[in-house]
Amino acid sequence: MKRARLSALFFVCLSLLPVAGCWDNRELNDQALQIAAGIDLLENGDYLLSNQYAKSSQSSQSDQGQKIGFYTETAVGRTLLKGSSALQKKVTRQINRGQRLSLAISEKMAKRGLRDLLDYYTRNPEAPIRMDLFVVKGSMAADLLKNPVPFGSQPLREYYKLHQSNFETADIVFMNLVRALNEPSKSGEILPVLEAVPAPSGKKNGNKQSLYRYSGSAVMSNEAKLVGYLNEEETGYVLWMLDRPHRQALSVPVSEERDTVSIELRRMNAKRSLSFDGGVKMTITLTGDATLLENNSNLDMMTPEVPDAIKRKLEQDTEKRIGRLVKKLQNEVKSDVIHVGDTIFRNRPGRWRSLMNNWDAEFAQAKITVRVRLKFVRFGLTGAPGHLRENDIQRS
Amino acid sequence: MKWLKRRGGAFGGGRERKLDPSPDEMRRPPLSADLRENENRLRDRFSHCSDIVFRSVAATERQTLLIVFIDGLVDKQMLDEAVLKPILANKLPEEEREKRPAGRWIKNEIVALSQTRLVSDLHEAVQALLNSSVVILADGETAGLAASLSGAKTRGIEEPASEAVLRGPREGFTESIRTNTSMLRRKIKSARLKMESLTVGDVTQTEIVISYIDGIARQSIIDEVRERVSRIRTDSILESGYIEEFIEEETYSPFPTVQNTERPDIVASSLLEGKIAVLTDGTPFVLIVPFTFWAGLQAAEDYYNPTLYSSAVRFIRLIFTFVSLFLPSLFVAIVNFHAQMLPTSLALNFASAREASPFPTVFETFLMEALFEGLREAGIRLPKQIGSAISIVGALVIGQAAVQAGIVSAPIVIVVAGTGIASFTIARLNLGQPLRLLRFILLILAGTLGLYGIVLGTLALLMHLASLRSFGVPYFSPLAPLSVPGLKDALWRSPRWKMHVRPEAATDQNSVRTPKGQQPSPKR
Repeated sequence: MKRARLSALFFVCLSLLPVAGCWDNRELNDQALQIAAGIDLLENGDYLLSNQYAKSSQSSQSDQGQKIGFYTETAVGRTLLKGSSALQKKVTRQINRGQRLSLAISEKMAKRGLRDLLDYYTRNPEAPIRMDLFVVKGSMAADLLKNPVPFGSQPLREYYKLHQSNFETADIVFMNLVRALNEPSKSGEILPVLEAVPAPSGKKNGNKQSLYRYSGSAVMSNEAKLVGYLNEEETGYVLWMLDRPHRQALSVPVSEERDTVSIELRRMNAKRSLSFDGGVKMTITLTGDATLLENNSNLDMMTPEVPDAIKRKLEQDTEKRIGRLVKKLQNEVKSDVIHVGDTIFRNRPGRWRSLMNNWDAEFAQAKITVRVRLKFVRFGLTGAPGHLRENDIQRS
Repeated sequence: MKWLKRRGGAFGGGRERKLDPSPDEMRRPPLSADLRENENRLRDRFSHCSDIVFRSVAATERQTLLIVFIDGLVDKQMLDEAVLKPILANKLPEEEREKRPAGRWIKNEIVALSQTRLVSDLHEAVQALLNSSVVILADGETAGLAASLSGAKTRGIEEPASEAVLRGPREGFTESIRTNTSMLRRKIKSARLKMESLTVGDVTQTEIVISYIDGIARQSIIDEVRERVSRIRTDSILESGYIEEFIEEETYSPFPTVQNTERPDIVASSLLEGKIAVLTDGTPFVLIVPFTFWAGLQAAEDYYNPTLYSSAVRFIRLIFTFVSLFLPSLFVAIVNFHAQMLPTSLALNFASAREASPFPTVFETFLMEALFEGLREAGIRLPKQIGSAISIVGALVIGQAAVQAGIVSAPIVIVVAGTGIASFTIARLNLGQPLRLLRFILLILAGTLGLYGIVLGTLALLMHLASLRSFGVPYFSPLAPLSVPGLKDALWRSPRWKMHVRPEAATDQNSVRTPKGQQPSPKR
């Protein structure tokens, strides 16, 4: 009897299944897969929302001609949600935001501040918060989204890879910004920048050259406003100081001519030490293993003194450059993107409470010393450039 | 529910009733001293039986013997050699006959057969005849001699088709129970290997042998098996499947609680683990109890191949078991409900493959799965001559043609084909069956409720599996309840010298099978 009852119950449950109506059941070919979104600020304060959708390249695969696997639609809205709704009215398929990889912000939008935008992008449960966020310099975000790239069929997936290889890990950029804003440490953040490259003269727009390039980073203040730009080199130093994984190459002139030695760093590390005698003092010790990439001089690396000398020179040179960068951050840009405040907040929360209310001024006055300690680990089997004659090689 | 209870009271008692004794049991007339009468009664019993043979032989001048046997069941050449010739050659003088009764005389001296017994009533004689004996009746004797002289044609020992191995013994059981028991006996040369014989089936009178190793198998399980088998009341047992349905734990569970095999080495190793085998006359399939889920993933070859390789293969088998159960439903759930879980390029490829599909993904998958199952069924039923035709058609149906015709999309073909491959990796065929069945239920759940549905279904499945028992042994042991030493032979396969004790599921005595300290460590 018990079994009869149980099986009756089972069949009732089974017959309930179709009643569920498959609310969330959506076929893939009824959806528009959103790859990226772009936000521009119009003169009247409305948002110009642009979305790039992946289009199956097979349907447009007509052998000749470039495979265009995307489609960009734009819409204007007073708020982001209104813009989205307007977009959905134009896009024939239901928008699926689950595949979104990146968010492009125009320069103008970034200068006004991103605070109003962030909630819309964190609240939607469907869309991933692991995404790339970048500033478009010198053009509208919508133009970037409309522009094809030579590689691949969805340009914004390619730009994502561009950031991945030049900037740090691309998919945590958005979350890094949100975290920097919501923690009480008043830090800024840097975002990668894509800059419009002026079209080469004499050629039409439809050429196969990239029209955008990675050009360092945009410095965001704690108010999520764009306050300045850093070039690629400076961006690398900031990432090094923040101990985030990235690629870092250093060059140093070794003579008065154009002779330079370039190295690449591996196993980079940053250590911070704090002291508070007479204002905030912080020492950041940067370490790394150097691999020789290029030796334009006639120096012979096999001579033990030479790598040592180059190493010292590199260290001093880099310290000087980073010193200048820190000054720029403190006085010119005025954004704590190297997370000094965060370090104090995490290590001396008591001290931070007294500092936090006046942190902008305190940060500008903080004594930040940067020390660089390198270790030469690898320069190959040829000490001097291989093409040099024995006589031309300088051994000390 | 009250009415049900009452009904149970009224009708339940009926189940306890003994079946009516068969006419044979009722009438057990002893053999008469008159040979003519005995012959007439036997002829009456075997009326319209063209295969019965009565042969009268004159033993002496005055006394005749009647040799009765069923043609085809007995070895006629042996009958000539061992029975007829000695009788005809050694006609005894009259005075000898007075001293010794003919029945005993035949039994003791003349009939050169090893297995003989006396039958004293008609019923016994009939049974002996049916069990391929020769019955010799003598004039003036109230007892006959039944000599077992089985010579029915049986199939030779071949490699089992359903359980082929690359390495390992290539013999398989046959339809003759004596051959089967002898194969076991040859593998386990111990008097502790017991073979209890029972006869089940009122009409078929099928011989069943319950085999176990005394001192290893758990007594409670032996008693349970004996009890369950002897409780069977039915007219016929034609295959061990008949017995399986009578003795299994949960008839309506999709999962088998009794294992079946054609391979003597599997039975022998199961016996040595304390399990119990039930052999049935007339089928090469031997039942093994208790059966657990993890035993279903073990192949005989696991124990013959090197341990690392076996463990890896077993792991692959485990993965593919999950694939076989979950792949179609996971595919449908992810594509239809959680497209964000797919990598972008994959989602795009799926979307473009689906662009021209007329049906929902669930329906397409269901259709293809059903077609595949149909193809599989057809493959078993098909005569060998047209087997190649169906494989060509099958390749077209589950292949590019279906895609090109625009009925299904290409990824679904891959999913169905992958599931098909996965379902054949499961070592025990009868464990593959429930997975095939449940795959469809999970598919419906996935199509209506997405991943949530799959989780619901899986939860129900796990609850069922964890509560299922096979002859008192938890179905999911040694994983649930956890027994760490048992894991050595469940998820992976430890080296032989490391498996010191028998799996504790089916045995509670003499548990040490390999003394410790036998790891090979040759001197360098």
